[in-house]
Amino acid sequence: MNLRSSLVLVALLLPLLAGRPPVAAQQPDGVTVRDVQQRDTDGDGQPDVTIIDCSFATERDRVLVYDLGNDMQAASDWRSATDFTNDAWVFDAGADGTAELIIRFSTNDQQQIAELFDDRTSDGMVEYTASPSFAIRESLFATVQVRAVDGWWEQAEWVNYNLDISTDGPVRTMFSWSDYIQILSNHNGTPDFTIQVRDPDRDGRPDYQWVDIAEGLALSSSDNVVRTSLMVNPADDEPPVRGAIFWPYLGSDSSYTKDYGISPPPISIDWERAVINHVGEFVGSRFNDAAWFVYSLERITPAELTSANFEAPFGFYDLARDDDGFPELQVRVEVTEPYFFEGFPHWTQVVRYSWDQHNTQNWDYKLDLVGSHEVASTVALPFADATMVPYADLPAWVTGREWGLINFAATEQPYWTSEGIYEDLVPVLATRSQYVTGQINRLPASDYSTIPAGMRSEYSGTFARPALYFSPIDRKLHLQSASTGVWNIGRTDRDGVAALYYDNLDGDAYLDQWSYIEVRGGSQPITITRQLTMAASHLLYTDGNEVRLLQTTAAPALFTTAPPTTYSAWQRLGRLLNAYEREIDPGDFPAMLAQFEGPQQRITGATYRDFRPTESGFRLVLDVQPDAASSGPTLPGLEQLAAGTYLVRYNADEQTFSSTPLTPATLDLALVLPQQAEARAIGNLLLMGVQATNSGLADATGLTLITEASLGDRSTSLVSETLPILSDRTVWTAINWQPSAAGDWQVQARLTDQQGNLVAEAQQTITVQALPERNIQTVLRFTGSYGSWSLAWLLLLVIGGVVGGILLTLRPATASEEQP
Amino acid sequence: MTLAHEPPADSYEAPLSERLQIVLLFGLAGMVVAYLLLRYRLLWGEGDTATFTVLIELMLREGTLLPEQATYANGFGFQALAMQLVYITGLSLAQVQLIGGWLLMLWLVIPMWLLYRELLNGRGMLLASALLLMQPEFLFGVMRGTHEKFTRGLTILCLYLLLRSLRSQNRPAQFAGLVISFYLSAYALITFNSLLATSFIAATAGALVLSWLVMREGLLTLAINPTVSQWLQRLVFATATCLIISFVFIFYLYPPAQSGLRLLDSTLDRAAALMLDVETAINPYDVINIGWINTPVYLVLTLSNWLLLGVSALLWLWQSGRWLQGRWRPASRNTLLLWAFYGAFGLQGALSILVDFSGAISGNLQHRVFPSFAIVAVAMVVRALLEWIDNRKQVERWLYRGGAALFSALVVLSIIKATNEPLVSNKWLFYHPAERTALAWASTALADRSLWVGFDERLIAADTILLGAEREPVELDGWLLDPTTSDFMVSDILRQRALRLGLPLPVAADDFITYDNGKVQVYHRRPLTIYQR
Repeated sequence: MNLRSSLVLVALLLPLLAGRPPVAAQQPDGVTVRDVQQRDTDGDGQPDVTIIDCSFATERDRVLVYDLGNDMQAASDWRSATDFTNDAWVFDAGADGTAELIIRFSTNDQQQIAELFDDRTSDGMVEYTASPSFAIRESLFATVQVRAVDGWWEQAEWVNYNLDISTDGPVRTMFSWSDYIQILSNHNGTPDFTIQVRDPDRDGRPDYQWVDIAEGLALSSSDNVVRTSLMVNPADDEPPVRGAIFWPYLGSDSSYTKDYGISPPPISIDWERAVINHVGEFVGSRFNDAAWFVYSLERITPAELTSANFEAPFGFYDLARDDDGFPELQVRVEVTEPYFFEGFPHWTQVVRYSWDQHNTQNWDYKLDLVGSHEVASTVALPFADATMVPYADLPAWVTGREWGLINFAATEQPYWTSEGIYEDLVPVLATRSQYVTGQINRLPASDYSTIPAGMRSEYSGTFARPALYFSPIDRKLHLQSASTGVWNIGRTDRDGVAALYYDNLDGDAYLDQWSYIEVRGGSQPITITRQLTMAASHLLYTDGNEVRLLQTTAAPALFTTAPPTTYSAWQRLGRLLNAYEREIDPGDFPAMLAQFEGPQQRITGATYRDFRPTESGFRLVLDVQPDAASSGPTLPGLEQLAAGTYLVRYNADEQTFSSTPLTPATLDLALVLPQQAEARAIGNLLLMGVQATNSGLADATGLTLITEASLGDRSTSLVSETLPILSDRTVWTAINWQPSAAGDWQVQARLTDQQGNLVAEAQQTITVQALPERNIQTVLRFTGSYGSWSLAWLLLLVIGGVVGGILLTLRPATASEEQP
Repeated sequence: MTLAHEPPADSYEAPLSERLQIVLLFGLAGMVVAYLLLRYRLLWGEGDTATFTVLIELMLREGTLLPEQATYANGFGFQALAMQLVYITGLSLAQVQLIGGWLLMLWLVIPMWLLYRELLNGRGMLLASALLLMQPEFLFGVMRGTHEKFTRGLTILCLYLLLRSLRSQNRPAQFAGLVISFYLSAYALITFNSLLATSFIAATAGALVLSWLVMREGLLTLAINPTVSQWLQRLVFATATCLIISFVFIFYLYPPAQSGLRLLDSTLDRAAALMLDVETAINPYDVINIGWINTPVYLVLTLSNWLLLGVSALLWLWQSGRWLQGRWRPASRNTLLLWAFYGAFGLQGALSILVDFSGAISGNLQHRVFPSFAIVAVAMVVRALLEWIDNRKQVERWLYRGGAALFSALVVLSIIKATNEPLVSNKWLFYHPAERTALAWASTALADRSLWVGFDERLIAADTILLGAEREPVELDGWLLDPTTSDFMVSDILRQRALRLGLPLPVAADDFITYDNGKVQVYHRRPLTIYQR
C-alpha cells in the first residue's frame, strides 16, 4: 500500500476512530418516482421545467420543478435534472393541477435558502403562475424559511444539519402548541419562531436544536408558556432520517416528536389541507437513551444570564450502557425560580426519577421528590448561558439532597411511557405550591385512587435523602422512612378486587404492617382481610379466623441502597434484587411467615386488632372465640386464654406477654385556662387548652372534640377537630382565643364518639375584663393628646356655628331687591 | 312672576359684602383644615392619596407625563400640578400630598361662590357655598391628595363660565374671554380626569335635551323663549366641542385613557364609565364590611345627604309636576338652567344606581356621582329657601334660630362623617408614630419577607404616602391575609380595630414576639415544618 492509499484509508477510518460513523445521505424513501420528463418552454434548447410523476401523498402525485437559475440539465434522472439551489419545486398531491406546497430554493451570501409556501387563503392550494415567468401569488412571505448555514443541503456523504429556520404563521414548532395557537394567526413576514439546528462535527447527525419564540411576540409576562426549548443529543446518535420526499427534511409524518429509533423528516406537510403541519424534532427530546431537553418559560437569551425554569432539564440516561436507544433512567426536574410563587423567595423543584431496573423497556421504580434547593450552577448552552443543573450532574444532584416529600412507586406489571412513571400518591404540585412554600403545616392528603392496578406506592415526609431498602418480609424494594403506602393489586383470580396497605407504626425507617383487603363479588360480596405485623422480634398474623405469633429475629432490611445514578450502582442493585427477590403472592402472608424460623404459636378461633407499638414493646387487642384452640409452642404469657377480649401486651425487655381482659376507654376532659387575671382581658390573645385523658385499656379513635365559648347569646367556636385518644395517654389541644367582650364567658368542651354520643365534657367560667385601655378614651388617645382633640371638637362646633350663623344673615328681599 | 331678562347679580344689596363673604368662606375652609390638623396631625393614610403619591413620584422620577412604570389611566393633570408644586415650594411630595391635600381645597371657594352667585342671582351664594363645602361626600373627596378637588372645582368653574357667558353675549370681548376660559377649563378638567369630564359633558347634554324638550313643548314663557334658544345654541356648541376635545384626548393625546377603557370588559361597562360618573374601584375587595359602628349612627351622620337628596328631589318633582299642569313656569333663564341641570345630574345618578343594582355593570365600578349632583342640589334647596323667605316677608326668630341650629348640627355631623371620625367610623385612616417606627424596623429586619399590617390598606397607604414609589424591602400585607405571610404587626390600634370589627387578629398566643416597642409588637408564626421560616 502506498502512502496515498494509506492516507485515504486513514481519512476514511478517522471518523470511525473518533466516534460514530457519519450518516450517509439517504435516498429519499418517502417518494416513489415513476417517470421524469422535461419541457423547454422558452425554446432555447434547454429544459425549463422537469415533471416528476411520483407518489408521496396519494397513488398518483406530481412534482413540477421550475428552473429559476437557467441551468437545468437535460436528464432522465430527477437528481441530475433538478437541484435544490435555484429551482422552484411545486408539489401537486393528487396530480390535479393544483399545488399543495411550493419550495423556492435560492442562494444568498453563500447560504442555501429554502422558502416553503403553503395555503394561506384556506382554499386548499398554493397559488402561483408559471408563465411568462414563475411567480408565487399565494403570499409575499414564506411560511417556513430554512437556511443552510454551510451553503449546502446534502453532499455525497451526508445531510447538512447546520440550519437556521424561521416560521411565520400557525406552524407548530414547540411541544406545547396550544399556548400559541391564538397568537400565531398572523402571517406577516415577521418570524414568530426561530429554530437553530446544529451539527458541529458535521457527521450528518444533528447534535442540538434550539427553538426560540420571537422577542416581540405578544405574550404577557404572566403567561406561563414555553419561550425557549432546547433538545440535545449528547451521544450524537440521532437515527438517520427516513421517509423524506425529495428534499431531505420534507415529509408527511403527523407527529411533532420523534419515536424510538426513527427520525421522520421534521418538516411535515398535511397534503389534504395544503398546510405545513409542523417543523418538528431534528433532535429527539425524549426518544433516546442519552438525551435531554429544556422547556423554559423564561426566555433564554444571550443578553443576560437567565434562570431556566419549568422543565430544566429533563434528562434520559443509558444506565445499562447498552446503547439500545431506550433509556434506563429518566430524571425530570420542574423548577420554579425565587418569587415564582408570590412572597416565596426560594427555588422549588419537583423531580420525577424513574428507572428501568431490569432493562426490559419497562419502568420498574420511580421517585417523586419535592423540595426547595438553591440552583447556583451556570450551564453554557449552545447560544446562551443559563442557571440550571447540568445534565451530567442531575442524578447525583437529586439523590444527594434532602426532600420534603418523597413518593416511591414500583410497577408490578409492564409500564412504559416516554416520560417515566406519572402517578403520584401524594400530589406533588400541591405539595410544592402549598407545603414547600410554607402555607400549610402538613403534606397534602395522599390519594390512593391515583395508583392504578399493578402499581404500588408509598411516601415519606421526613425531609431526608432518598434511600431504599429491601424488605425480608415481602421481598420487595421499599422507601426508607415511608409512613404509609398501598399496592393496588387489582383483579384477583377469584373474581375479587384487592389492595395491600402498608403502614409504619413505630415511625422508624421501615414499614412494619401489611394489611391485605380483598372484596370478592357475586350475589353476596365478601371481604377478606389479613394483616401481618412486624414488631419487637415478633411477626404477627391474623386473617380474622386465626392468629399466629412467630418469635424471630428478622432484620428490618436485607439491604439498603440509594437510587442508582450510575451504571455500576444500577448493576449492583440489579444483582442484589436478583439475589433476594422472590415470587410471593402479595396477600400470602403465611408464605411470608414461612421464610422465618422460630417458635410460632397458632391460635385458631381468634383474631387481633388495634395493634400498636409501645415504649416497652407492643400491644394489641385479642378476640378469642369459645372454640379457640392453640397449637405450637405457647409463648410466655399466652397460656390458657379463655373466650373473651383481652389486651395483650408484650414487654421486649422481659420477653413476655401479659394479657388482661379489655376494659372500654374511659375518657376525661379538663380545661386549662389562663390563671392571671390581667391576661384575661378583651382583645388579648389567650393561650388555653383542653386536656383529654383515656384511662381505660381500649384505645378510643374517631372522637370529635368541640370547644366553644359563650356569653349570653353570643357564641364563639374555639376548636373542632377529630382525634384519637390512646389508652393511658393524654392529648393536649391548644386553644387560641381573643375574647371580643368583657363578662363571664362559659367555656365548654365536649367529646363525642363516631356515633355522636357524648363521652366526656368539661365546663368552666372565665371572667374577661374590660380594661380601661379598651374604651373610647383609648381611641381618642390614639390620635393625640387630650388638648388637641378637645380643641379639635371645639373648632368643629365653631364651624357648625358659623354655617348656622350664615343662615341668620338671610333676609327677605327688600323693595330694591325685588325682581320686576 | 315672569322675567324678560336677568338683572345683573351685583344689583342686589347683600347683608354681608361680597368680599366679606369670600373671606368667610376661606375662613370656614381654613377651619376645616385646622380641625384635620388638630385631630390627626398629618398622621393619616388614605388609599387614593397613596395611589396618586406613587403616580406623582414616578412622574417626578422619569420626568415624563407617561412614566413607564405606571400611569393614571384617566388623566395626568393632577400629577403634573403636584409635580409643579413640589418644584415651586421645595416641599417633599409627602408634605405636598398631606398638607397640600388639605390646604388646596381652599381654592374651591372662588368657583363655588361665583357659580352660586350666578345661579341664585346674587343671593344666598354664601350659604350655598358653605353647604356644598360641608356636604360630606363632597368634602371627603376634596380633602384628599387626589385629582378630585380640582375636578370638582373645574366642574363648578365650567358651569359658572358657561352660565356667565350667556349674560355676556352682548359684549363680544367679555363673551369671547368667557368662552375661551370655558374651553380651557373644560380641557383642564379632561386632563385631570377624562371620565369625570365626559360624565359632566353627558350631564350638559342631558340639560340640553331637557331644555330643548320643554321649549319644543311650548312650556316656556314667551319672554324667556328667545334667550333659551340662544342658550340651547350655546349649549350645543359647548357640548359638541367638549366632546370633540374629550375624544381627541382619550383616543389620541393620552393613550393610557384608551387602555383604561379597554380594561373594562363589556361595552356597558365602558358606556357607564364614560357617562355615569363611575370609575374602577381601587379596592374591589369587599370581604370586610368596613363602615360605621351601627346603622343608626350611619343614618344620623348622613342626614345631610338624605335631606339634600330628598328636599331637592321633592322640589324638582314638585316644580316639574306643576309645570306640566301649567301652574308653574321657570321665571328666569337661570331657574330653567338649574331645573335642567338638576334633572340631568339626577338622571345620571338614578341610572348609575339602577344599573349597579341590576348587575348590568361589573361590581368593581363605584359611583362618584353624588358630589356632582350636590352642586346643583344645594342651589335648588337654597333657591327654594330664599323664595320661601321672600314669600313670608317676615320670618319668625325661632324659625331662623331653629334652622341655624339644624344647619350647625348637620355641618358637625357631616364633617364627622367626611373625616371618618374613629369614634363612630370603622374605617380608620390615622396611624400612630409607633406603628411607623415598627415599619422602619421591619424594612431592615424583615427584608424580602411580608408583614401583615392590618385589616385594610391603612398603614400601607400611610407608608406609601411617606415613601412614594420607593418600595419597602418588606412586602406589606393588608386586607386578606396572604398565605405566605408569617409575620404580623399587632398595635394597640389594631387590637382596638379587631374588637371594633369583630375579627380575630391572625396571631396565636404562642407565636414568637420578635419586636416590641411598647405600643406595637411584631409576631412571627411558630414554624411547624422545615419549610416555614
